[in-house]
Amino acid sequence: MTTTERPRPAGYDDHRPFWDGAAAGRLVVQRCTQCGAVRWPPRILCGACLSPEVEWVEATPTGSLFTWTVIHHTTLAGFKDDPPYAVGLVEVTVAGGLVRMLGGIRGCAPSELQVGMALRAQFEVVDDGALVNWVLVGDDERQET
Amino acid sequence: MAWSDICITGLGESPVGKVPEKSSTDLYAGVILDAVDDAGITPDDVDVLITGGSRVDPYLYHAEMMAEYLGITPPTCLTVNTGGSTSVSLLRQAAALLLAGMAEHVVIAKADNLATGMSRDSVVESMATIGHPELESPQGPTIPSLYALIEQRYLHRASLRPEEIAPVAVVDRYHASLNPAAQYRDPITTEDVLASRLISDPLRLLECAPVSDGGCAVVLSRRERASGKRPLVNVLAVGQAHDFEHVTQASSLEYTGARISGPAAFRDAGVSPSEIDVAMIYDAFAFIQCMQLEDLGFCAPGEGAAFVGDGNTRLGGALPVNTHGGVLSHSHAGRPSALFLVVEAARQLRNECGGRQVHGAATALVHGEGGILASHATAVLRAAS
Ligand SMILES: [Zn+2]
Repeated sequence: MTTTERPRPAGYDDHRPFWDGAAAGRLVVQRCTQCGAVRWPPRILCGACLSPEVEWVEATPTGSLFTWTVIHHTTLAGFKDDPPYAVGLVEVTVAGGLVRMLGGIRGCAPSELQVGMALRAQFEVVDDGALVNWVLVGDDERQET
Repeated sequence: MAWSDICITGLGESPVGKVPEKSSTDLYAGVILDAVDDAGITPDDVDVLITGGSRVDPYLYHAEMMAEYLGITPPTCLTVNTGGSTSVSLLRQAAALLLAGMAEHVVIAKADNLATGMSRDSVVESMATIGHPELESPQGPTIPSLYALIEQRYLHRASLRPEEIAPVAVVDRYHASLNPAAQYRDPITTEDVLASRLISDPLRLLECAPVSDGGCAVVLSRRERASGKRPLVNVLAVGQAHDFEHVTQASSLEYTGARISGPAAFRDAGVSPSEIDVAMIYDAFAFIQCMQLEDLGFCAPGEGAAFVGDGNTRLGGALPVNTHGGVLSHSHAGRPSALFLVVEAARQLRNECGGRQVHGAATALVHGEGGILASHATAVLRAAS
């Protein structure tokens, strides 16, 4: 990583399905076809059973805010104009288990952030894929689901 | 040979804070020579030289470079340039070499000049390499923010307000005010902590480690090879736990590996938490101390902040913690911070702490963590009889 630019998707083969999915507005993660464990980030083998056999499964692009912070001061040159910006760990339930992802939390005031709140993925297209950010699920949406 | 034959025999410390007249290499040389002299041996007696490298002078073979600088040729040189748990876990590796008969004297040294040797932002950015480079770094997480994520969840789990954590910084500063060697010595109040600016919610500036110059060194020896120049300190046991690297992969973000490393160290030492007279707990961020007090068994889950707030960790309290001022107020030159915990614990057990001495201190605990509360090491030390 250089110190003056934002890090970007590197385009490794084993991450490609995730970036392609995100670019198409879909949240996909790996699932072990041997034992069924889901995993994130992508890996070449299953941490639970060591099997290399893997499939990519689409997750419903919603999650629950496990924890969050609002960054008021950053020394990362690529982000120096961004503060304050919120980052959270989001729990996503997929058939077979649950993964936590680190993502930007967008479109809400720091005072609105609460552990456990419902979020929806928002895909931010960048050079070679899309970053997964998260926004609050609106009251209307919540009634639908 | 048994663990009771493994002794800390020598200690060396440089000035901390801003030491612009010294390079990191000069700081290293000074603390190694001081520790060796304190142990009553000569540099040629060192069989194993372990250094923590330097961010400012990032030599690949750093320990060899230091040996060359000192004009010595120890049979074993190791550069172990990882974070806050390493200074404590290295006590275990050193003990193993001594127990195996592969060494008689081991030196562990860490020094750096982060405050004056490089710009502050480049220091912090140089530390900011814990996130997944492809899948997390594009979101701009800083090191403090990754810790803040854990603090936020801890506050939620324990039903605490951020202001209940602030006394950790106040107590560290009080102890620093008693330590002429500490970097920040002016007493502060809870209000000062809460008035300091937010770095990454809920972490405020005075709850975050400073950036410092400084270093220290420790000599470990087989008891029969100790010169007897200074009182001996036994390393009774070291426990370790290594759970994860990325915060998304932690088995729990509500409890830490101290729940494994602590009991392992207590078990192997044959000591219980109630027998600890003084504790040094790595606290680059204030809330860490509260979580670790709980996870090490000094108080019940969720009561770490109250334990500190009630005065237990102050000198004169039930369990004085970080009598040198902690990482928050003594210094944070990066890798040396946790080794300073070992040095302070040994000084307490040698009864050398003057106005901050814990009277009758016989048994001490040192806990280091690194990564983002990912890697843990706990040591139990005792004044040798
Ligand atoms: Zn599997």
